[in-house]
Amino acid sequence: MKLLAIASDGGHWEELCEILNGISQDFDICYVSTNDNCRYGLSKKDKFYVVKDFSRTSSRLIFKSLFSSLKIFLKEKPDAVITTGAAPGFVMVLVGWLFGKRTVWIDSLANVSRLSLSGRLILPIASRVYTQWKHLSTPKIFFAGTILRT
Amino acid sequence: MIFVTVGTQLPFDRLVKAIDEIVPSLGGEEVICQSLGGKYMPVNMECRHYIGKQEYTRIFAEARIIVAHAGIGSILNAFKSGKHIIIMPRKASFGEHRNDHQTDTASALREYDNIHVAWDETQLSSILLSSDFKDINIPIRNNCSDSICASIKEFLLN
Repeated sequence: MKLLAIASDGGHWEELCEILNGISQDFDICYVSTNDNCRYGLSKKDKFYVVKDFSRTSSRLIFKSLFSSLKIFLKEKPDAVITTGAAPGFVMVLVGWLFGKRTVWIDSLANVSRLSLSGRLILPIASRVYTQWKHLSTPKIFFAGTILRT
Repeated sequence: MIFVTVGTQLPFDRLVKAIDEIVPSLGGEEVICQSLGGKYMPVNMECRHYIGKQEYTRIFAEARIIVAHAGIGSILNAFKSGKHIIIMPRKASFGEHRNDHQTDTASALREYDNIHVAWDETQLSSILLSSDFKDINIPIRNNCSDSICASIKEFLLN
């Protein structure tokens, strides 16, 4: 199964990598992030793309992001999308949804009091949304543990 | 060596300035600072805009202690490398982030032995100068919990 895994550089990418370490043996993964530096740790044969980062304060960039995400999606033709956010992940889940693919959003451990804004916006669209805090789980928001082994 | 990092998204001048002012009291200990090019220009230490991941991992491993914003990337690396980390949450009211989730993150994770929360610059100075952080053995936590990986795998494959 081909999985497109996307996350912004920084904590989102670190969390995604933790999850992928636990599941990668079962998937053919294509990686997307917002900084070429994230290529570190991947093998030479791993497919890796860079998209421009943006947030709600630069939301006009969403159309550029949609375009570059579409290009990658059409080239790679993944069966599913997985992301830990943030906004670029939101856009890729949107693309995945448009193409009828399964999409998974894992909200960051950082969001303790409520789901992130992107997480709340993607909730009606993503196939599954995870929180990493049990008290935030609902019938629609799944809790199944965290990226911290405790 | 003390490693100071503000993460990959936004500068954090308040943290960088606070550390810059503490440096003269550190007895000559080396400070490596990654500041993402904030407006504040340190006088007692050099700061780098961004550190590549390979070097970042090496610096993390060599550091005696980490000082950081309350970002998950920094915190996760502290767990993975068994390091003490002092975290100072960014505040939205200072324009340091879009909301105050770092305050919540810090509150939720403060119980871990290696996480030390400085709610302001005074506390940051106090915590950093009060201990050498060598007396507590911090376990290295790596790999995320099996349950979340199993759940995701099962959902994707079935």
